[in-house]
Amino acid sequence: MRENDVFLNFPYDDLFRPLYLAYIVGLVDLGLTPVATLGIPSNATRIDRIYDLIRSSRYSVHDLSRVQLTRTAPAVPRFNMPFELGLAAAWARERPKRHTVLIFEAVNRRGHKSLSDMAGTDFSIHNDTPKGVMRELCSAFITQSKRPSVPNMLRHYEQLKAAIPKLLRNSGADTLFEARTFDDLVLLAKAISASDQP
Amino acid sequence: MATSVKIATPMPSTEQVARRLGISGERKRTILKLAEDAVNSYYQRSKSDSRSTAAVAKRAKAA
Repeated sequence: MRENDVFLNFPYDDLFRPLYLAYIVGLVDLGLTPVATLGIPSNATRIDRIYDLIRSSRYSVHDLSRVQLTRTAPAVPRFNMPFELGLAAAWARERPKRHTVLIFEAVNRRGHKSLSDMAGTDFSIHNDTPKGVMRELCSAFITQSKRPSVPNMLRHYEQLKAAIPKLLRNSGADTLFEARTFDDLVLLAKAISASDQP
Repeated sequence: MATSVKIATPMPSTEQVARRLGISGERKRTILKLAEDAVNSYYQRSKSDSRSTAAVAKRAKAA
């Protein structure tokens, strides 16, 4: 198990991009390393590889704010995120000292309505804003050393955003939702966090 | 299910994160340089923004 790894369960969707970057910056500033299923091919072994990734991560963060109908026809509910939450929840029940599950949503009480099995679990409500994601991450993860602040995270978020066009040009990628680009973003966020010590 | 959790491990260094992600060599150097440039230009921009704000305020006061 990797003690600093956080399995990040979120939609691969351009509309989610601001929150995607906020999660990366926030988790990295907290001293954690986000990991995602980007790059895992859609074939018979996908579920095994997702489960392995969950089991090798000390924490998982599940963003359920986009569990809605897809925009392209036929419109279907996006089940991947609750499904992966189910896998992580089962693993955490099995090994509570090895895995901790945290659930994020944009709207208060909506998650409990769509997922009543989770009654009694508090969801972190980020209000669909990068600042909200950072605020909730700071409440959810308690650090031993100096606690990062939301204003610092927001500054690192702006710095990361400004560097993205060049990052994509350098890697030849078209989108941020690729395995290699995700890793590059994590290292970029870490290097920004380390360089920006006002 | 938790609502908060205490992180038990120390903050990893940039080098440790790069190693964990399997990023090395030219790719790592390019990303580190990109980070340095992003931070520097952020502060340069902030400085010039505050200078121009001050100049506008000064002009407004003079008028």
